[in-house]
Amino acid sequence: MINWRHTLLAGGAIILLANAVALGGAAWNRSGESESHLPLTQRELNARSGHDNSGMTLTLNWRFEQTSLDEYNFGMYSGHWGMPLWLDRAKLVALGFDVQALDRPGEYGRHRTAFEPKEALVVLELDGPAWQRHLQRAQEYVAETGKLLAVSPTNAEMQRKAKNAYENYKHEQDKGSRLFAIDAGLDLATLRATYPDRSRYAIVHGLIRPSSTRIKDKTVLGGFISDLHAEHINVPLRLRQVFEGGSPFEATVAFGQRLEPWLENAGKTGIVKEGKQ
Amino acid sequence: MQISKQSAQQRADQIRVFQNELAQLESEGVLALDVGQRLRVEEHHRKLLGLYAQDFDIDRDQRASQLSWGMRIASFFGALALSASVFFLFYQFWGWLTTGVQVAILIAAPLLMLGVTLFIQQRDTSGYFAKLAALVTFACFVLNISMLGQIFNITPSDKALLPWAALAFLLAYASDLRLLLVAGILCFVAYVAARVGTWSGMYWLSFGQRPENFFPAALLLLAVPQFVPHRRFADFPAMYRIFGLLTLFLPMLVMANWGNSSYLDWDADFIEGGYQVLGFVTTAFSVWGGVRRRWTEVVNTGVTFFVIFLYTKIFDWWWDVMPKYLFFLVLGLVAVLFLVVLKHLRKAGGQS
Repeated sequence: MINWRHTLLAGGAIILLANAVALGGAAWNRSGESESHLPLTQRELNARSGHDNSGMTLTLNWRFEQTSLDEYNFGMYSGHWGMPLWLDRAKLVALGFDVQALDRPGEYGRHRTAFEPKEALVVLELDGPAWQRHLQRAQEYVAETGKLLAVSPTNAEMQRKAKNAYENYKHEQDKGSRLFAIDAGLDLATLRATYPDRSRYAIVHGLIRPSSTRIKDKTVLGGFISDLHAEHINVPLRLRQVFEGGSPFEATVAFGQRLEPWLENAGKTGIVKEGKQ
Repeated sequence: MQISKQSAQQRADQIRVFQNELAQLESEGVLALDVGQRLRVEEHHRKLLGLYAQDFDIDRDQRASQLSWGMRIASFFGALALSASVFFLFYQFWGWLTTGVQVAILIAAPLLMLGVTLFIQQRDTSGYFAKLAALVTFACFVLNISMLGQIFNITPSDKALLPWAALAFLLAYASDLRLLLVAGILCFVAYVAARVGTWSGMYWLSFGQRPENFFPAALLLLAVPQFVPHRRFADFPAMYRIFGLLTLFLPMLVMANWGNSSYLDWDADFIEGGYQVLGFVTTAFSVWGGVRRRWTEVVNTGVTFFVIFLYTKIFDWWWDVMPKYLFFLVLGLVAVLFLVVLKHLRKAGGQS
């Protein structure tokens, strides 16, 4: 066995060095001016704590414009499953995916490398044109279901659809998240030049998985945002009470040098506390 | 000469067997030591056993050996339970602590437990309590790094596996603890496989999707006992070889049945066939090499995987076309054939 003094020194060094690297990275992330900072509300942040876990975590409630809108992907059912409208063939090429391999019919098994997710930078937009367009589409969907109901006013299915569409539209207006993933790229400087407003556009690390669908002998390429690394944000003790009780709140989430988030300040609507530690 | 606990225990067992055999030989009238010889042998053995008992707390007899197995099992489950308790204790209360206190506790816990482990090691010759403390130290360190990631919203990284592996190896060698050696090996395998995966352009957490990512780690593990002497850690080379072979054969087995998971851009059937052949050749080679080098663990791992490769092949060929009684008869006959071959190998080994 190894001499106990050597073990103590080596073990202590491993523990302290690993902590120094982790804490140094976190400190560097929060140093200087943040890369972006978004003023979010309960619409974009879901607070969560568990029975056996006393810690509180905020989850970013982000969405994107869907390729198609139906009663299950907007309003209260809205989430970030499905394929973003903007994640098309040209974007996949820009992100470095091998679209030739994705195009080949019946080759999914043999060219799995082409379908593997890649790390990319994802742009999140707060309360911008994407949200407005989504709201507009939701309104159009309400109008569409209303027209169908007018044709068959006694049809129970049409009545249900029209009612759901209206309720979902109201939900979008009053409670739906206004945080939309609108673009992706590989270079931070290029993306920031395209989206310079740091209090409206946050850039975060994420994973993009391409997809290939055969529709009538034609291959349609798209993709999924399979993960956003900045999705979960820890709540420090002094801001915890802001998120308890379910009342409306305002919180500024900052994204630092490594694009990792933290809670800069938060408060019940009208009362905001500084949270940087 | 400095020896390990395993060597001391082995010698003590030899002495016990020798004493029994000597008594048997004397009762059968084959051999009778004179009083002087008997006293010298008894005195020598008494001194050796006393020394071993003092230094290593070895099992002097059968009863002690049975009890020590019980202690080993209790120590293992105790360590698992205490580690789980540490995790849940922190999770239960961390939300009510300020960030500074959280970080201080997370750093202090593994440092404190490391000190406790070494303190106990100085006083506990049996090693069970020190081993238990070493496992809790490792659990505290895993909690430490993973919770820092959660508190500061750090992007998950495979680099965390490196310090975990380093501390696990250090504690394994400091406490002569195989369980921590396994933990270190697993962290090391995951890190190397993740690195190999990222070199080919994949996200690090997807490394399991390409079984070939594990091959470099397997070769490195198999090389360790060849190049690093383990005189004082008699059990460790076997652990490296077992996990090296598992890291080699399991990915082969996956690709022998699912060729699409390979990096090779060839026909899936061809890849599967290739890995089936490679599986048979490498497992047979490991049995042959294990017999030659007298590495029991290599022989056992090789035989196990050879049988698995063979049975999956037999299943592919005959499950659908044969009546079930005939299929299982074939399996049984294959097992009998195996017994014959292994018996022959054992006989050949005995003669050599």
